[in-house]
Amino acid sequence: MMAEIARIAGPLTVEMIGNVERIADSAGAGGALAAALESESGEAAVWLRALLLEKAGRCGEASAALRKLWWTTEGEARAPLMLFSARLLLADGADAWYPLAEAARAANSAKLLRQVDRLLRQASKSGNPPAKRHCRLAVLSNFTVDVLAPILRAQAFGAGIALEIHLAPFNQIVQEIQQPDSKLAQFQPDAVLLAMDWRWLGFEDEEPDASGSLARRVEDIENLWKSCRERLHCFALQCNFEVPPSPAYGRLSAALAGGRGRLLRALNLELWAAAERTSGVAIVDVEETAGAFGKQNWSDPVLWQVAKQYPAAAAVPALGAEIVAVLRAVYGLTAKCVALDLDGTLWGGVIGEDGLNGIQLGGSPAGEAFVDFQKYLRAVSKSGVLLAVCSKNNEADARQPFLQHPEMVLKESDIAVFCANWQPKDDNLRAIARVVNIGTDAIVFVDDNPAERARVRQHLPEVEVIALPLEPAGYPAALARARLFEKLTLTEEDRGRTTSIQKNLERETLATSAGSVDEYLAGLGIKVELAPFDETNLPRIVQLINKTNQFNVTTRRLTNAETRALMEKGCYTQSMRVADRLGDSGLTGVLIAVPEGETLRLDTWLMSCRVLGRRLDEAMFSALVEYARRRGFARIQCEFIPTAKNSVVEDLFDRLGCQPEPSSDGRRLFSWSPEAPKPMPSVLECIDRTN
Amino acid sequence: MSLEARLQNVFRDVFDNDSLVLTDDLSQESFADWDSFHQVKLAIAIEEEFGVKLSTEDVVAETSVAAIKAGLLGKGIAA
Repeated sequence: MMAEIARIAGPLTVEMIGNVERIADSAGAGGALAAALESESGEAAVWLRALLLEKAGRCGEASAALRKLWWTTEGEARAPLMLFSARLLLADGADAWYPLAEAARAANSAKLLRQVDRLLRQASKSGNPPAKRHCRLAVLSNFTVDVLAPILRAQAFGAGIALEIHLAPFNQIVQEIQQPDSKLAQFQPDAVLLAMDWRWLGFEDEEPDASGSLARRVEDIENLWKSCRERLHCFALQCNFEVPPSPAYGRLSAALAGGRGRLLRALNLELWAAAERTSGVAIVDVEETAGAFGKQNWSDPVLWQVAKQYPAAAAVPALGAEIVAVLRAVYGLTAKCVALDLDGTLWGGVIGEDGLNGIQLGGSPAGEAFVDFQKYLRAVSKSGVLLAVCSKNNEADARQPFLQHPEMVLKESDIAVFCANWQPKDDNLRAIARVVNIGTDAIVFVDDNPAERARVRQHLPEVEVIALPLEPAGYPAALARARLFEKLTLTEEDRGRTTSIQKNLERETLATSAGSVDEYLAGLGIKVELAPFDETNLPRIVQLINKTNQFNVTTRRLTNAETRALMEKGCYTQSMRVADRLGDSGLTGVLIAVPEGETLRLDTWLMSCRVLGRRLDEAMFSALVEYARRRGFARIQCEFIPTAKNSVVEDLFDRLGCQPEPSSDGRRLFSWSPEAPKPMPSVLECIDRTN
Repeated sequence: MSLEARLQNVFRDVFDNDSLVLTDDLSQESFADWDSFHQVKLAIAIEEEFGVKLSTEDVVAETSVAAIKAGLLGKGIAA
């Protein structure tokens, strides 16, 4: 059994969930195994423990265990995780709205979305789901929409819309709309979804009177809209028409003036134009959705013949997502601001380390991908969405590419709020929301660093967090897929929004809040290993010594030979490796202290900016103090040498509690008396091989 | 999971009933909720769960648990 558990290490996947479920099925009395798994922090082990606890009827404990994965799990496992959590919480009589909404947002299969809807209905028995908008939606259709209803309800809930759905009788579109006492009229819809497929139009493969047929159908549809408005006083959501693949006429279908393919394309254009001049109408773009999904799989010929099912069941979530995107636009539930990380997000590399010429931007395939992402963002901003920068950087470094890099597409004038500092990002997002006067729920957070994403999810669950793929070329699609920027139309105000915000903007000092950093860190499961330098890790250490600019208290550069000489001289050397649930950060910290009589002088201390903000500085310092104490040094002397880049450690020694030492020549010296121990932060799991 | 257990989960999902227990003689005739609409939902859920494609004939004719199981076994799904 333990061997099987060992095999399920690594990030959670759907396949692994299946394996874990099989292990849980074959496990006997689960209590002992669940207890044995308690110290395991791997995602699959947590999942297995939760399954075993559920089997034992301990759903409260199971959901508490699973909750640790809420902030970090991304990708295909997120929806199953949230569904499992919701199931456990409901079994325990607790509130499950958050995991249900997250499941709805992460799920992309019909099966998962149906499960969301099922739990949603179960949860609704004991309270109304939280929603920003309520919508009574009637669906009129010439195809079967029963499969669509639960999926659409789940997806709308994920977008903050509580849907009550009325399905009108199959293929009675005109009757239902026209009759004053129809079930539809009694339902009093807020919106009617007019979902007809191309067959409803009755176009022949080649229409004899093409322009007449087209005009008649446009008129029919506009009459339906008019009825919605005048009889039902509701909004009309009009599905446009898929141009189906494989027409009998082949390419003639589009080439001939009366060909069906040509007519459908023309009709779709007419409908867009008609909707633009008619208030209370929005187009659901079925043609685009079918194309993006893949038209060969959009229809299911068998279920069409058996049950007039359209589109194919597997395509229903895509159609539902399009309908929800339109509903978001109708209700104005669109994101108003994209908060962007910089390093690794807008360009490759780290500006504070690599410098203006070292970052990847343009000039190479990877660099071009970042340029394209910036072009995408600039277009998003032109459609009235604000861009903000939310970056852990020195502000001057962060602004430099905007001012000086020739390949930057985004300029400072495209950024409504520029927030580059070393505060936690959730604090900065609150500040950004305050400055532009929107709710944090209207912010989309884009960051390539999974740890930052996890932190924002945990501390600002209402913020939409985009899980960027590892590949920068995939960034635009990852952002576009969430369909957060949909609008019905574009106003002059939209076009000028960034400028007006900048004019009104008062530069705010971004507030600090200690928050519950430790809680966040504990969730990351950080493992630290401190070890003396050795030959194998020396190349990496020398590399760090020579390139680290930000967290670097003295910025002393050393060659390979010089470093080896210090090791041989009997200096205290310490390298730090860090790993957490999200991955191995590797060797990311270096410290050298030189014995000088009774004084141990801290000569070099640096950390990679990838791992800042996790109390690792305290861990490294704690080990140094322990060494000094054991070896009987009277004091540790520290020095801060300011540079243009290292302001992040300006107050490091004050924060650690060192005593400032007077100095005659303006040097900034501090000392620590090793009799006073410096405790290791308890949220870190630390192995110290230097003592 | 056995075919029986997977199919039972499909039925519980489609009929929204967590205590439904599958028996071979359960059929469209013996089970009032099992109408043509549920037949389509079953067909979709079976295709998703077992990764198979049902023919028009399968969807029309497989109106009992016994027939569905026979159909799945015929498509090479392990019991």
